[in-house]
Amino acid sequence: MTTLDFKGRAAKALHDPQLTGALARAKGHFALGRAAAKARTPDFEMLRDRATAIRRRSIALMPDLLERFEARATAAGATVHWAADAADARAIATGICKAHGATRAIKSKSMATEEIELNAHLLSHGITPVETDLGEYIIQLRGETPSHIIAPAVHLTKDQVAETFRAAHTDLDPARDISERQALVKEARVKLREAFLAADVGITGANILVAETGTIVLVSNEGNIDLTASAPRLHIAIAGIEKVVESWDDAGIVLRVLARSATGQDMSSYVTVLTGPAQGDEVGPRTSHIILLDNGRSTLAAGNKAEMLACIRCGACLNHCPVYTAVGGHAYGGPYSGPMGAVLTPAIDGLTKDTANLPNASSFCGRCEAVCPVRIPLPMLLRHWREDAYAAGLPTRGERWGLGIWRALSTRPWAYRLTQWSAARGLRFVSWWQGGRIKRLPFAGRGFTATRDIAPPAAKSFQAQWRGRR
Amino acid sequence: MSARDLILGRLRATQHRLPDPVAPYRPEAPADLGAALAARARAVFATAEEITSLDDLPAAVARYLGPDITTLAVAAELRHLAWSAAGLTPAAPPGRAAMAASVAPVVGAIAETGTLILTSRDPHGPWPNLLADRHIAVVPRGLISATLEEAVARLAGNRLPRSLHLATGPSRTGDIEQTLELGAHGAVAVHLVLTP
Repeated sequence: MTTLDFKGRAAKALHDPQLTGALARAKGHFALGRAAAKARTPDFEMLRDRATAIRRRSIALMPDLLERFEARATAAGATVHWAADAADARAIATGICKAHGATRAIKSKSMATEEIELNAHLLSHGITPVETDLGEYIIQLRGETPSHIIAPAVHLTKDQVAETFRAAHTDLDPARDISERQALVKEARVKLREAFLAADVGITGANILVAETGTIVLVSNEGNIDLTASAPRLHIAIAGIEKVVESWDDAGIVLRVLARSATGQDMSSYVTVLTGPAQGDEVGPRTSHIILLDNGRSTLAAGNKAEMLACIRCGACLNHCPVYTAVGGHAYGGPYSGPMGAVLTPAIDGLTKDTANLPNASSFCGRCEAVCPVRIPLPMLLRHWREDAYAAGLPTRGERWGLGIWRALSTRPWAYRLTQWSAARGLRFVSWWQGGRIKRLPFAGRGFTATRDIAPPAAKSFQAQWRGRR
Repeated sequence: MSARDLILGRLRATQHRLPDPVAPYRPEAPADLGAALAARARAVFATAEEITSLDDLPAAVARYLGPDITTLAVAAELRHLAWSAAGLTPAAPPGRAAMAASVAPVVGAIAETGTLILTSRDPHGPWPNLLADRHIAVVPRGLISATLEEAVARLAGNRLPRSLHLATGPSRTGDIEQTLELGAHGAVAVHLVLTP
């Protein structure tokens, strides 16, 4: 965690040309991919409606579904653990590793393990985790956190990746050519193949928990999840409790909207379906543990932001957010970023001076809600956080004063009209004085005119014109 | 209080509006599941062909691999075919080890998405798709399902296997500059051979 707050981190990001370039590229890529998938899927909106209802049902039925999941997974031979918070989950995970003498861990990308900061904890207990999703592997080598929930290294260029690999893979020929992406992918493939086959334990997250059969469903494009879950003798999955759905019919619909919304694919390249440990002469780990993680989720379920638990982590709200695509994920200060992160992070970390800034990082343009595959009303949830932050006295004195003045004016139409009339007159005068455009303003207006001129206000206000037309 | 009781207790403290159960999604199945499977697989960078008899498999595999690869891992149930006549040397699947090419039957396939299904119950497990550079999948037409839901129901029986691996096209990644590269961890190339 940096010492800067959201505003400081965002300002720094906006002045990083490498980052803003990478973000601009990614934005077009993801938004176009989703639009193309939507266009070739006539049933897309129907699938979204059904996925929306499925996820709302899952929230309403969550305690029952979790108990059913636990019973079925246990019957299949898995061990199910419950973790109230991050510390619980970390202790359970390291406890399992120690009980099995596991010191070499391979991991597939898991936002839940980022959330509980599992890797540092494993290391401090003598267990070495190796991230195997290519993006996660790159940022692990760089000591960074993911900047996007499905594309963790979205902020980097191939040259930065090559530099990282040269620094990390010191056993390889320093003169080798890794200037092209294909060579980088191949190098990581070879390096990580060794790690897969040597590991004692595979640690994964979970995209969906299917209560009907006690099954964990995971998606990837690289195949690293299949290897993580099948190559070592021990498997640990860490899943947020909200991931549960009732049936395979539900899971099928969620998978269809997830792949299309995330990467514009009809189906993720690898869907990994795990039920209990290997039995008899089956291939795979003989021991399977599932850690169900709460960490603020049950509290979220009780309040006016419960719909956030419907989130399936596709990243579409990030990819379509004018704030995220300008400042990137690191500005949000936690593993979750963009609109979903701005709702989730205060719930997980608590509402503080810093996290209270996140719900303000929105123009309420509504694109996030428009593209969300499960129609989460993200702008409304952000508004609820702003209300909570105000009630908790978190905004600064200046912000509270400003809001107080705004409220006084907007609840008194005569005062509003008078203020607007005199402000418009004042601005029209300034504009005339400065040669037809407003070029410089004092006080709060200074920032606004620092980089642009403003046209003078219209002679008649919108309200006056509206009255005239009725 | 245990974490389990704490979590379930908190969740039960709030009553949420319960939406009606959702109708399952059952898109209209294509008339020819094999043709649909092949078309969808080709759309995600796989290749596909059909043979009229399993006896033609070694010749088809030799054609696909070209002259550079002559030794490949062959699943036990396909070992009896006339591989040497096609100029190929069949090896037993090496288990958890890398291989240049591997040919094995799949336990199912999904026409809607061009997906192959491998399972922990097979003696060779998921390795032909994950550890071989080229995965040649033998797909008996009778094992193709229209949808994911249908395939899972068919494979579940009394109990689902430890793992089902649903693989759609070769392994890929967009993690470096959001540019698609094939062969991240799993198969670099996937070839479907439909059989009667």
